[in-house]
Amino acid sequence: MFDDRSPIYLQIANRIKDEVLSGTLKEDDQVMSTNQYAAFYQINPATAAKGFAQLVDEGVLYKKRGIGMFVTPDAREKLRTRRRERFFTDVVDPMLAEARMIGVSVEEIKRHIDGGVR
Amino acid sequence: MKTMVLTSFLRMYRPQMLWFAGFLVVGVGLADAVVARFTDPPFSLWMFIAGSAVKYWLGVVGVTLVAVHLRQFVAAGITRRDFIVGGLLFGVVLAVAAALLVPVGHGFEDALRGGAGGVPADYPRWSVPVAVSEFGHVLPSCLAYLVAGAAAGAGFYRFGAWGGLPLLIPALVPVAAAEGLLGLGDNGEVLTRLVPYGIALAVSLLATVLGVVLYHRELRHAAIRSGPVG
Amino acid sequence: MISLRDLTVRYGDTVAVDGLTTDLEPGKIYGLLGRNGSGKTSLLSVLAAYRKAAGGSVTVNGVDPFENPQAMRDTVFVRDAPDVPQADRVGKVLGFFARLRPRWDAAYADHLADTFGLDRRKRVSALSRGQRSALGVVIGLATRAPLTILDEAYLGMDAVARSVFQRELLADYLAHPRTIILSTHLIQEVADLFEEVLILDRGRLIVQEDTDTFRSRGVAVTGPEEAVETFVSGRTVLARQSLGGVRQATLYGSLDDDEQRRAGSAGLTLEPVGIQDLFVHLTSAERTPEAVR
Repeated sequence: MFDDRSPIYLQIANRIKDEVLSGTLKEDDQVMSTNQYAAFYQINPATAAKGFAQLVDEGVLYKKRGIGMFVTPDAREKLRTRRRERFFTDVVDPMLAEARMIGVSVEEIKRHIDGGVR
Repeated sequence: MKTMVLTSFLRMYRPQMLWFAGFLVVGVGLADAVVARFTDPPFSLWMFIAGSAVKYWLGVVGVTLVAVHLRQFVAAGITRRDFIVGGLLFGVVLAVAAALLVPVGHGFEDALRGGAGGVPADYPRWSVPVAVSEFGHVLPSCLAYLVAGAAAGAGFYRFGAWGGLPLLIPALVPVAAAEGLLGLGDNGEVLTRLVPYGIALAVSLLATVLGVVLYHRELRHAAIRSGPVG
Repeated sequence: MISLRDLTVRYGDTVAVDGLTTDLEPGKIYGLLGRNGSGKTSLLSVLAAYRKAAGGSVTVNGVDPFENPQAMRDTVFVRDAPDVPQADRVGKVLGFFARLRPRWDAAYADHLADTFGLDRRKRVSALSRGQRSALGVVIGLATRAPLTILDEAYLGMDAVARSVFQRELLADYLAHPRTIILSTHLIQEVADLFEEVLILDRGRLIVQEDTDTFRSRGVAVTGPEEAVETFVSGRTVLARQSLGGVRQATLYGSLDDDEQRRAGSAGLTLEPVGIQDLFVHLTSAERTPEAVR
């Protein structure tokens, strides 16, 4: 379920962020408890707790003492902004570098996008 | 925890104890009946068979204490010390039961043979003082066999097949003392050799106590072996 | 809290555990990894009072567990074959532990035995290898000991039984948190359950680390031979292999962003190493790399 080559707590954090971004988790939704999460994904609860702590630090989740963890109201917006910032450096730039390497021009790419992708 | 060890042993061995006693009573009873058809022996079959069988059985129980049971008790969180004490308490209970069985069985045999007609003059007749004396002879012998078996078994467990061999000699001292001083006469009557009963009893018990010391020394730091057991 | 100071275990001339010093905090699941003969069982035997140490000291909650009634009562140690008489039936074995173990959960033991499909009327000697391990797991978990030690507990279990074991272990730990030490050489399957891993190599502790941190320790650097060698010089190299002019070196230790960029510009590819491979590399070396110690 998790890749064994990178820290699982980061994978957990990323998975929850994706759920927030996709809208599966809405603002003020309660997320699973660390124990539920651990049992569901068959991982050590301390690892799950570390992933959740990371999300609290990043302001994606907030804690209600004695009740559980919830999605921060502006989490989706925050994550979108952050991912947008990284979209060009993480996705577009490597693509352009690849294109240059194999001789695909920017014009061709534009045509492809205009024609094939909505 | 020592009493927990004792009660665990009693529970584990209860079926065996009943089978052993039942088998002995029925077996010797039948043998007595068969023999009585042909002859009227001047000796007590029960005393010869039961008097030996109970001792050997205690010896076997002594050997199995360590070989079969030590691991399971330590695995259940019991210290070696509690296992040693609880196991020996169980042995004492077993020895007392065996030492009671012998005179009781003798009483039955006496009643059966006496009821069937006259008994040969040499047959060791049963009476309360005789029964007490039989108890007093069988008990120290049973304790000696139990402790010797336990000490011998522990020696092999701790030091292996070769290392345990020389320890057999001190381990068997209790048996040597009991067998040398306390025994049966030609017709199955109990008797004391060489010294008066009081001294024989004291020497036998002392040798048994030394056997307990050896048993404790062998086991107190023993590592729990792995591999199949019992 | 378990404290080991310079712990040494010997069998005649053979040193099984060689001057081991560490502390284990309570309430965690530890994975004890090591090849056969690395000293895992010897170390665990001392913790469980099955064996006396030859040197050094061991304390569990402040006392030497050897022959200590409290410590022994609070510890359960399950070896690859359960320490029970072979002639006993499964039901009798469970009854024995039920009477002697103060925290034994009989309902849970029944549930586990059913889940593993253990026939209570069968004698231990008639059980298959995997069923014997399952019986050990039932004893190990239903005892609910504050220190639960499972040594190669799932030897001989098939894939289904192993996954049942992992699920039950985690569920029971979540419901009844306690210190659990699980030794294994099938790391990949169970690594996610461990909070911390300890790796023994020839009687020495070479790694003790948060599992997640350890997971990200290995980096495989691939590229032209010279570029790779330049990049890895001065670092802990666990393994090297070459194909034509291409070399791959497995490094121990994480690389920061700067180093990653430098590798990229040198035409090198960086790939993470799986936890199983990392373990194999760490313990197959002729000599334990000093930097790992």
